[in-house]
Amino acid sequence: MIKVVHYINQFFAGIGGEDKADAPFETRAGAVGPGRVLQLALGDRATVVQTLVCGDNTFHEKRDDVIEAVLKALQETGADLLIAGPAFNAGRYGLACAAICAAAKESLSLPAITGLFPGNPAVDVYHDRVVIVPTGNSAVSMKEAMGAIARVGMKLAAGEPLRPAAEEGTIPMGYRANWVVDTPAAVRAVDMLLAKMHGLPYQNEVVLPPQAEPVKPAAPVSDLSRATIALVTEGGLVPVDNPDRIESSDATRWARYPLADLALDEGANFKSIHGGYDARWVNADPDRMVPLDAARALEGSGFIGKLHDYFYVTVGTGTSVTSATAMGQAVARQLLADGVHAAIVTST
Amino acid sequence: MTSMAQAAGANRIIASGRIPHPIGDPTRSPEEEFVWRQGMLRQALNTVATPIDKARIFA
Repeated sequence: MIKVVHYINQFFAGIGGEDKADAPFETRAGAVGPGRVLQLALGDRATVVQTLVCGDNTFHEKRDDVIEAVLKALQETGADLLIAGPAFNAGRYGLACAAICAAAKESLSLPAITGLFPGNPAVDVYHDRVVIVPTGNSAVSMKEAMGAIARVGMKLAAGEPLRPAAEEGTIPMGYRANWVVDTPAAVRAVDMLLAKMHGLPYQNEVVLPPQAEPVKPAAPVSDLSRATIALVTEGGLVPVDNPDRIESSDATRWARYPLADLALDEGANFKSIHGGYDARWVNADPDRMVPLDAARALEGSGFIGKLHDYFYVTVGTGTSVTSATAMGQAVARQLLADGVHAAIVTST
Repeated sequence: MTSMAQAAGANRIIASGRIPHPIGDPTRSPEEEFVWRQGMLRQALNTVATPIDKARIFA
């Protein structure tokens, strides 16, 4: 018989509402409150042997102590599965449920599952660490929520791998798993294409990253002949010893180097450490990535007012949108502080 | 790669050389390559002097 331990807050334990949110952590034998609905959903496959109860404020004020007490209770009961909540759209309760599921899984390797409304803030924080079943936003959906939690929870307790989130009915955890399927990729791709052409529904097998938010275009430079222009690149051109240790892929760092240094010995002291293109042509002539020769000529002829004294560089291969956005903002702040009017960004 | 630049949120985009040398062309003589690069840079500079209200790939 599979032993289930169930975590609920003071409200669902019948202690009280907000005025009892400081209720201490306690353990009770058997199923309590929604645990009875859970027991019905589990049927004779598993038994709720113990219920853990904690006030919502108590959990957050004494988080480490409560988690330690939860882990101790799970060990003492010999639990096979931890079920927390469901917490629906309750913020503190949701965070508590997700946090103890994460602790049970990560400290004890114990299968754990909770149920949350997809908009619950705990989903954002814990979706990649905790198996979460999506629920409605209130306890009205308790019965359906417990049915889904019991079904997925029993698979976890049995050590069965979960199917993809869309099929399993869980919140996506953001990782890919390998599966053996009967139909080869080419056939699946053609089937998908035919469905698309006929306006029929189809499911991508690879989740596409969200498109970037539109960025409001900057106002144009009113007079190039009076503008200060900077050169920026994601092409990985750095001094040969890469003094700022910019990563050759998935970069998190950027640097700026004086154009005066790049001008020495036709750029022989610089090379590309970019991991995403064959750098032989750029190493032979760095002007092919940072067009210093042409920019100086356009400065000399008065086409632009002034060339900014530094070029700015990072590596744009395998680089996360988050890192790229942060670096772009930092570079832009520096350029604005230095009175630059526009930047030419060369990209591989 | 101009569509990728647009997907990433760039607003003023021009197609340049090839991926390993976006603003170089090793098939030309050094003198011709310089002239070509200067023309490409002038074109890029003209885009930042052009008013736009949404992302645009300048031909």
